[in-house]
Amino acid sequence: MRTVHVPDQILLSVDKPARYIGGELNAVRKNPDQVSVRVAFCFPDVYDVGMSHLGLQLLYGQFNSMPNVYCERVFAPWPDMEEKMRAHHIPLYTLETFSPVKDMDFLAITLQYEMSFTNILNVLDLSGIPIYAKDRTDDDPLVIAGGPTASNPEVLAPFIDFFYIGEGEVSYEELFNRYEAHKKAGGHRRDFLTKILDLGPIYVPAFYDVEYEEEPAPGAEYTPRIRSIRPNRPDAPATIRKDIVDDLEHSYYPTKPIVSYLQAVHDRAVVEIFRGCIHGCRFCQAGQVYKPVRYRSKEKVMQLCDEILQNTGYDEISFTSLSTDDYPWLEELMTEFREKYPHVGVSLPSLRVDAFSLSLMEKLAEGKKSGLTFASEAGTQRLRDVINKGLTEEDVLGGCRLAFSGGWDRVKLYFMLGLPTETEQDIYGIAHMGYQILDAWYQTPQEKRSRDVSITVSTSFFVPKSFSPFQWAPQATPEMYAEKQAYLNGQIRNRKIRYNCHDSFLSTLEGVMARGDRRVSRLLYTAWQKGCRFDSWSDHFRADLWKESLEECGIELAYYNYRERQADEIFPWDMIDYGVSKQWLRHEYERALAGKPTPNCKERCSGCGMMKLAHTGLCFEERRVES
Amino acid sequence: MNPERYRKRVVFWKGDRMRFVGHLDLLRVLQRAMNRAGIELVFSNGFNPHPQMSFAKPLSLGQEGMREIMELELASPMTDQELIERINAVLPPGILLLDAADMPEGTKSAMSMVDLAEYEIHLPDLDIDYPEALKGFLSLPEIPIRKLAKFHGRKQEITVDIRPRIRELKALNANTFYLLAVSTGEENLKPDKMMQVFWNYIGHPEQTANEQIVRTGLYQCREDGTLADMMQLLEYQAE
Ligand code: SF4
Repeated sequence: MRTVHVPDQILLSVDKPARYIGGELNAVRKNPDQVSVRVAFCFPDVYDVGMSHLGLQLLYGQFNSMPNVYCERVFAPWPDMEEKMRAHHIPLYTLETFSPVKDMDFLAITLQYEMSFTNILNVLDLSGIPIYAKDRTDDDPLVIAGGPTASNPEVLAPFIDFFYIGEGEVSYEELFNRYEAHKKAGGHRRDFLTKILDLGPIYVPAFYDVEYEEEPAPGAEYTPRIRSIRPNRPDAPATIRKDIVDDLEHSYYPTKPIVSYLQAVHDRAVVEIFRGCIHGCRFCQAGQVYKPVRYRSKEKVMQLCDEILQNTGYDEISFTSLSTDDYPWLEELMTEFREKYPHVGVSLPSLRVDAFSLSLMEKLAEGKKSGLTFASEAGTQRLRDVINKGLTEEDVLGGCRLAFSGGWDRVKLYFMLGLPTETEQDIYGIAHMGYQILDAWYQTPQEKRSRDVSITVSTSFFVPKSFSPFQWAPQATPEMYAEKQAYLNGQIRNRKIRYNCHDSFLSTLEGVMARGDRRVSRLLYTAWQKGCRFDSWSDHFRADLWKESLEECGIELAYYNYRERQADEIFPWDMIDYGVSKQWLRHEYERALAGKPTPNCKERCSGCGMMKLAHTGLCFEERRVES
Repeated sequence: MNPERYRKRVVFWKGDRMRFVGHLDLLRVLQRAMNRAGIELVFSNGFNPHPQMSFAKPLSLGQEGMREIMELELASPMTDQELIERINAVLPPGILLLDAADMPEGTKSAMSMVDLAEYEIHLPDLDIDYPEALKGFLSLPEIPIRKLAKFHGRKQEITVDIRPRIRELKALNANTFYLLAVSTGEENLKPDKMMQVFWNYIGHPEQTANEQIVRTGLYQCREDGTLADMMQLLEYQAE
C-alpha cells in the first residue's frame, strides 16, 4: 500500500491544518489490505462544509458496515493547501490512511450544488486521475457521482464514469459485491460498467448518444435543441430509475458519525425525522426528487438520538427534514426529548411560526429569543399561488404579532427574485411585507414589545431546476436581476429594515449548470483550467474568468437560461426517471402560469406518478379528503 | 457555608495528529469526551454558561505536549483513577490523560502559577554542527524578534529582545536542543519564534518551521531556585 507523506512544515503553513489530518473520533479504521473494495468518498468542497453533511456520514457509515469495503474520505483542499500540494507534488490522499486517491477502486463524489463542479475537476486533477472519463485506464478508480444535483448529470457527463440516481442506501452493496467478483476474475474497468446496468439506478454517460437538431431552437440564436438521447448498446436501459428506500424505519442510519476536531459549519448531531415533502413548491427540486414522504417513528427517532449522543458527546442536535412542521409527532417528540436531554440544545430548521412553535423555540433556546424566520419566497399572494407556496400573509403577520407581544425582536424574511410571471407589484410586495411587519411591531403595546426591532429581507435569484415544475421557465438575465434588486432596494427605506442580496452572475452560471447539457461540459473544463474553483465562496469566485470561458466556449445564455423551453422539448435529463412524470410537471407548470395552487400530498394526491416507483409512504396512506 | 467543590488538576499528553488541533478545538474535543464518558462538569454562571474547564497554557499548533495541564470542576466527586480511566476510554487518538489530583479549596489555577516552560527541539538531519552553532547564537547580546502588539487598541509591529526570556538553552545531543523558556502571562517566549531567528542566524532561513518542538513540562520557579511542576505544587501545598 502506498501512502502519502505530508510534512509538518506544510501542514503548519496552511489555514486550519486539522482539515487534512483525519483520525477523528469515529473515523473508521480498517486494514486496506484486508478488504477487496476501496472507496474514496468525496464531498467536493472544503472539509468544514463537507463534514456537516448528513449524506456523507450516511454513505460513509453504510459502506464501512460492509466487511469487504473500506470507505475513506476526501475533500477539496482549500486553495492555500492546493498550492502547497502542487508545489511539493503531493497527490490528493484519503484522510483515513493517507492513500493516494488514485489507488482506490472507486472515487464516489456527492453532488449537492452546481457551483461545486469546478472543484470536482480539481479533485480529479490533484488525484492524478484523467479529467475526461474516456482517458482513464485500468489504473484509475471508477468515478461515481450521486446526490440531488445528479438529477441533471449532463454537464458532468464526460467526466464521470457512472452516476447513481436516487437514494444510495439501496444498491451500493450489490454494486460493490459485483465489483469484488469482477475484480477477482481479473475484469477490466470498462467491462464492469456493463455489469451493473441491470441494477436500475446506474447511468453510464458513455453508453448514451445525444443528437441535436439542425436548426437553432426558437428563442435562441444559434444553439439547437436536443433531438434524441439514446442508449448506444442494447443492455443500457432507455430510462434510469431512481432508487428509493422502502423502509426508512429500518434503513441504515449513521449513529456513529465522525466528529471533526475543527468546528464544522454545522457542528452537531443530526437526525433525519422524515424524508420527502408533501408540499409541491414549484421552484423546488428537492421536493420532487426526494418523493415520496416517508416518516421515521418517534420511537425510532428517540432511539437514534440516544445512540448518536452516546457515540459523539454532542451537546446540540438538529432534527432535519425538508419541512419540520409536517412531522406528525413533532410535539410529542420535543416533549420527550427535552425531558430526557435537558442540556442538549435543539435546532429545528424551517419551523412554522405559531403559538406552539414560539413557546417551543423559546424553550429550546433556554429563554433566549432567537430570530424568527419566514421563507415567504414571493411578495404577493398572487405570486405565492403561482409558486404554490402555502404560506399566507396572515401566517407571517399573525406569527409576528404573536412573537412581538412575547418580546421577540428579530425577523428574517427570505424571498426569490425573478420568479415566473413576476411583476413590479410582486417586488413591491416584498418591501410592503417588511413594512407591514414593522407596523405590527409598532401596534404591539409598548410594555409587551421589545425596545427595538430588526427586520432583515433577503433575496436570492430564482434558478429553474430540472425535475421541478419550473424546469420550462425562463431565467432572468443578470441585467433584469440587477434592475429588480435596485428597485427593491429603493423601496426599502427604513433603518429598521435591512436588505441583503446576492450576486446575480453566480445565479446565471448556476442556471447554465442546472439545466445545461453535454455541450456545457466544455465551459466547465475551460473555467477550471483558467483557475476557477470554490465558486460558491464569494472571495474565490472569479466572474471574469467565467465570462471569458462563456465567450470562448460559445455558450449561448439565451438558449440555456433566458428562453422559455418548449412544451415538447427533450430535456438533457429526460433519460432519468424520478417517479414524478413529465406530464404532471408540465401540468403543474401550466397551473402555475394560470395562478392555480395545487393541494399538498396530505390533503389530496394530485397523481404525480410517484406511486409507480414507491411502495410505501404517504402515497399509499389514507389521507384526509378535502372537505 | 460554601458547598463543596470538586476541582481536579489533570496532566495529559497531546501529540500525533492532535498536534494540529487548535486550542479551542481541543476544548470541544474534551467536552464531548466528558459527555460520552457521562462525566458531568459544573457550568459557569452567566449569559452563556460553559463547562468549567481550563488549560494552564495553550500549546502552539504543531507542537507535542508531554505533560500538559488542564483543570476541571466536576459536579460530583470521583477518584483520580476513575476520572482518568473513564475519559481515556472515549478519547480519540492523540490525546491521553496521565495523572490527576484534587485541588483543595483555595488552590490557585495552574494558569496563574506557571512561569517556565520546558521544551525539546528536534532538529532536521542536515550537515550542520548544531551544538557549535548554538554557542554562537547564545553569545549574541540581544536576540530581537518582530511581533504584533496592541497599543491602545491598535495593532503595531514592535521589536522585542527575547534573549532574557531564554532561561536555559543547550544541546542535549547532536540533533536536539533543550530550552527552558520564560512563560508567564506577560512574558512568553515562543520556541518556534526563537528558532526562526536561529535559522536565520546560521544562514538557513529555508529551514524555518522544519524543527519538531515538544513541550516536556510546565513549571514554577520556587524561591529556592528549584523547579516544581504543577502536580508537585499540589503536594507542596498539602505539606
Ligand atoms: S403520488 Fe400523490 S401523494 Fe404521492 S407524491 Fe405524488 S402527488 Fe404526492
